[in-house]
This record gives sequence, C-alpha cells and structure tokens, in this order.
Amino acid sequence: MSLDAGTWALLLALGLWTALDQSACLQLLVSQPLVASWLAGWIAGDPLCGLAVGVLLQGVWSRALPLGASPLPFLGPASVVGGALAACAPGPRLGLGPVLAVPEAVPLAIALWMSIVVGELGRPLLLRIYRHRGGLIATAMTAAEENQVSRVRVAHLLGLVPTGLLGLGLVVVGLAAGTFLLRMTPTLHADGRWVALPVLGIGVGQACSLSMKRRAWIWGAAALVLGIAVAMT
Amino acid sequence: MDLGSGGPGPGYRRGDDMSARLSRLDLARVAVWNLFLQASYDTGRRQALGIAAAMASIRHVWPTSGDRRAFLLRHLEPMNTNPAMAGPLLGAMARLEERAAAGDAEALARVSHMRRVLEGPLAATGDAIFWAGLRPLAGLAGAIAAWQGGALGPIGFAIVYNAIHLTVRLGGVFWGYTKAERIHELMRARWVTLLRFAVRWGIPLAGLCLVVLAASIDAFPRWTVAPAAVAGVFLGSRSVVRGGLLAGGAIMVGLILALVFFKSVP
Repeated sequence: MSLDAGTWALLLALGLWTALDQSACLQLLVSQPLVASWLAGWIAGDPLCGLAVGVLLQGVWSRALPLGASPLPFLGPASVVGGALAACAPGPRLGLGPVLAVPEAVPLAIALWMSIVVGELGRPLLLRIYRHRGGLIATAMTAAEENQVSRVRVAHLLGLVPTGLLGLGLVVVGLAAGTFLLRMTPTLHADGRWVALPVLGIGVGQACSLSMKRRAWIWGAAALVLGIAVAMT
Repeated sequence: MDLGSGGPGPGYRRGDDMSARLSRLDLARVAVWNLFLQASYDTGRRQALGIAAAMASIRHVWPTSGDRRAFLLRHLEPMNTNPAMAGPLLGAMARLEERAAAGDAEALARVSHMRRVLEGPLAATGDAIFWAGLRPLAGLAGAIAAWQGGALGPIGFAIVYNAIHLTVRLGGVFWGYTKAERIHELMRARWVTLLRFAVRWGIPLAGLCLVVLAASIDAFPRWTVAPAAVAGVFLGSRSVVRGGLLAGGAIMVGLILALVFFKSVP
C-alpha cells in the first residue's frame, strides 16, 4: 500500500508527462486512461490492475472533448492516480476477463473515485491557467515588436510550466489522499467486479453515444438484449 | 469559401521565387514546433503564440527587419483550430508567405483570409475525426485488445491513433505547402470519408463486443454491464450528465450491491 521514494519519483514524472501531453504538447494520447493508468500500474507494481482501471476510465471519459476552448477533465494526472492506487491496493485480485484483474470493491471504488475527483478538480484549474496568460502574451507581443523571435518562443514555452506544475500537484494530492484512504478503510472482502462492471457498461455507453446520437435507442436495445442474453447463458 | 485559384497573383516573379524558396528542413522545423502548438494556449488569443513560434522558422523568407517584424505580428493574431489540422494550415501559410516575400501582391492578403476562413472548418473536421472519432474508436478497440491480450491494448491504441494523427500533424505541413490555398480539399479527402464511416459503425460494433466480453466473464454481477451500457448511451446522447459523475454514481451503486451481496460471492 505504501509507495517508496523511487516509485513516487517515477509516478510524478509520468504525471508531468501526461499533464503536458493532454493538450500542451505532443498529444500522443499517453494522457488517455488506457495508456496512463497502465503505465502507472506498471510503475506501482501491478500493470494488469492499472490497465483494468484504464479500460474502465477510457470509456467514462470518452465524451470529454476539447471542442473550442472548453477545458477537459485533467485526464492524465487523474489516470495516473487511478492506476497507481489500484495497483498498490491491498487484498486479493479478482479476474476481469482472461487477463485483467481488479482489487476488492472498496479499494477499487477509492481508486476510481480519487481519479474522477482529480480529473474534475483539474478542469476549472486548467481553465484558470488558460485565462491568466496575459503576461505571456504581452511579453510575446513586445518581443515581436522588437523582432526578437527567441523571446517569442521562450514566452510560448513558459506556458508549459503552470500546466506541468498543476499536473504534478494533482498527482501528489490524489496519491496522498488515496493511499491515506486505502490505509484507513477496513478490509471487507467484497467482490471488486460489482464496482468494475457497471462502470465499464457506463463507459461503453458513453463512447457509443458519440457516434449513434440519433439512433441511440437501436444501439441501446441491441446492447441490452445481447448483454443479458450472454449473461444468462 | 473563396480562397482564390491556388496560383500566384499579379506581381509574382518566378525568379524571385527561387531565391526565397523554403527548404524541407525549414518545413520540418515548422512541423516540430507544431507539436508544441498549445503550450501557451490562452482563452483570448488561443493558439496565436504557438502559430507564431512555428511560423518563425520561415521568417528568413522576408529580407528586411521591418518585414520580419510585420510577419511575426501577423501570426500573433488570434487563431484556434484542431492541433492536428494545424499542420496543413501552417504548410499552406508558409507557401503563401514565401510567395508574398517573392513579390506576389495577393498572397499576403490571402494568408490572413485563409486563416479566418479555414480555422473553423478545419477545427470542426479535426475534432470530428480525431477527438470524437478516432480516439473513442481506438479506445474501445484498445480496451478489447487489453481485455484479451493485456499490454497489447494500450500499445495498439497509441500506435493506431498516432499513425494517423502524426501523419496529418507533421506530414500535413509538407502537404499543405504543396497545396497552398487548396488545403480545403483535405476536408473532402477520401480517407476522411472512409474514417468517418469506420467511426460511425466501428464504435457501436466495438462497444457491443466489449459488452459481450464483459457479460460473459465468470462473475455474479455480469448482468449489470448491459443495463449500465444502455444508461450510458441514453444519458450520453442527451448530454444530461458528465461521464465522471455518471461513473461516480455507478461506483456507488456497485459498491452498495457488493457490500449487500458480498457474503454470497465466493
């Protein structure tokens, strides 16, 4: 349940990378839950548990779209927190399909909740950063007036600093709060799949609603019939 | 959408074009800076600093200090588009700047006009293709692959998405340079139509596969997947509740059910 200094350092580095990858630079989708939670779980010692959380969260946030200037939940740091907490959760693992595994219900719920809280907390804070970059713009405009390209570029790259610091801060807060809650929670031995499967269903539905807006009821009926038929057999 | 014929305007001299021609290295620099397009994203000028930082790689096409100053200020004007689709736009603007520096009187006006006219449509196309299309499709396919093959899922997800994303974002600069005003053809390209078709039908099919996989695992709560998926699709299609809050509710319901039934679970 406790994380050593090396693991903390690696998780913070991953948190920084994913925070910047989400929108500030590269955007290789390392910040998406499927990748970030898997890497965080790998660092924390249980990649398949981290990956299971990534599969659950990937669908949940599939409708989080950066359209126009609307800010996303801070997916990268949130996914790192979720994957790492699930990987270091105490107790046995339960099979979610042939490969993936999830911890017991309460630790899994804590990992998912902390991830969602970190993601949603990051949304307004990111917007705040976007709204307070007047200084950088002014510096760049002055540099352009003086024909100094390097200063324009430095002002541009300085924009990475607050985004990265916010990501780091959220990973620290999320991991600290999550490990504290995991330590305080009594052991109940409840099946984690009770928590995982409804969240997976919600996530799949969220993703599908993106492409089947007008025919959602057709998809919904098909999913219901097929899913329950498979579950009953 | 009138962006001109695509050819050089009056005053354009062929010989001048050769002296100011951009090299592939110049365009590669623009492409690399395009990866940092949103480093200083701001709600007022949006991606303006990113565009200026990228375009600064070709400032040498303008001979005098005054021209270069005007060039930088021109590209600090507010702009917002999809980051991947910014590649072709940057390439096209580089071509027009090159022509303008070589004496094409109309090219300069076309730079600003093209930015204004195309930033919206390119943003809409890019958001539909990449954010609302390829990302959820690759995410669901990656989840299925992860379900069956573990690490194959995230690795495959990143490879599939970036193969298309980086081709457009980096290669688009070179493509946009060759197309200039005709980059709007990108929005009607055959691969875009095919990708939209694949997304439209691929996402529901991949979703159904994942529901079937999850409902077939050997666990007592497997019947919860299908009703939750139906709730997700209906609430999502009406944008009633955010995904995070919906999942939060599902976690609470699942937790309560787990605590109620945990004695009957082996």
